[in-house]
Amino acid sequence: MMRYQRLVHTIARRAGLDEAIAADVFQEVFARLLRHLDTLREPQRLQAWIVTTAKREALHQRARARREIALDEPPADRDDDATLAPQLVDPGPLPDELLDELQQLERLQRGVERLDERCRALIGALYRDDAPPAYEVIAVRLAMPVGSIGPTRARCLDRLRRLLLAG
Amino acid sequence: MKPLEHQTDAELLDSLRRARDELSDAPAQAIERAIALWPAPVPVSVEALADAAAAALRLVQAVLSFDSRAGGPLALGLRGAAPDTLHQLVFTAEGRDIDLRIEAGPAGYEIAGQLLGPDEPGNVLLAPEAGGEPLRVAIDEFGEFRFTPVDAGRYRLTLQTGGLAIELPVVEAGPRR
Repeated sequence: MMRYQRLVHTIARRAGLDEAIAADVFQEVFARLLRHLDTLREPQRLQAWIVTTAKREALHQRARARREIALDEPPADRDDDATLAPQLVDPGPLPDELLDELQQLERLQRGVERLDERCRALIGALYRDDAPPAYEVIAVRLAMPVGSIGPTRARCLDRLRRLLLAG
Repeated sequence: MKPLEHQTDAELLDSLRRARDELSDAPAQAIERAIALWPAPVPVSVEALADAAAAALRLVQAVLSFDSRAGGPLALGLRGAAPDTLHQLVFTAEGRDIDLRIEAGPAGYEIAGQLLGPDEPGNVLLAPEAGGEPLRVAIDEFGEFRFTPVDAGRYRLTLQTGGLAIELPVVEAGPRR
C-alpha cells in the first residue's frame, strides 16, 4: 500500500476531486484490491490494476459530483435531458498519456528514495528548488568539497538510472 | 516523455522537479484507514515466521518489480536480452531492492543476488518451497550473496538484515517454460 499510495492519491486529485472525495477513492481502491487479491495471479499486473481501478473510481466520483451540482441548479437553468440521461464517463482529465507519465514520475521519485543517503541529499539539493543553488552553497550545506559536487552528481544520477533500469 | 533510463542528467533533474509538483502523498489518516481494512497479515511461510520470531526481526514481503522472463512492462522491453540459462529478477521491500540472478551451470543452478539499499550486514536463507532445513549464507560487504550449486526446484529466500526478515515470493531454479 505504501508503494502505491502516492499514485492513487495523485490520480484522484488530478481528476479534480477535493481531498475528502479523493480520500473516498483511496479507500475504495484498496478495499477493492483486498476483495480481488485472490484473483490477481500476476504480481507484475498489480500496478496496472491499481492505476486502472483508481482512474475508474475517480472518474465515477467526478461524474457523480457533476450530476449532483447539476441537480442543485435552479430548474430554469437545468437541462433535464442532460442530467437524467446516463453520463458517459469522460476520460478528459485522466488520459492514458497522463497516467503513463505519472507512473514514470512516481517511479523516478521512488528510485531516488532507494539511493544511499549521500546521493539522496545531493540530488535533493539539486532539484528541490526550480533554480538550483550554486555548487558553493550546496558544498557548505552538505559539507562536501565544491570540486566533488559535479562528479558526485554525475555518479549519483547514473546510479539512479541503473536502479531504474533494474526496475 | 522520454524514457527515464535515456534521460540526460539535466532532464532527470527536470523530471524530478515535475514529480515534486505533480505527485502528492495521501494524508496519513487516509493511509491508516486503508491499512485498517486489511483483517489479517499477508500469509507467510511458517518457516520464515518462526525464524523471524526467533531473531526478533520484523517480517516483510518483497514484491516482484522486474522479471527478465515476463512479458509486458515488467521486463522493460529487455526480454530476450538475457541468455536462456539466466533468469534475472528484482524485488522491492522497505526501501531496499534485491537483485536476483538464477543461472544454470554444469553442476546445477546458482542463485546469487545483491541487496541494494542501506549498508547493513545480514544473512540470506534458502529453503525448498516444500519445506526443509534452509541453507544460510552471509551477505558480504558489497551486499552480495550466493548459493551454489542448487538443485532445480522452487525455493523461498529470506534476507535477514536491518532488523527485517524480507521474504521473497517463491522463485524457481529451472529452464524457461
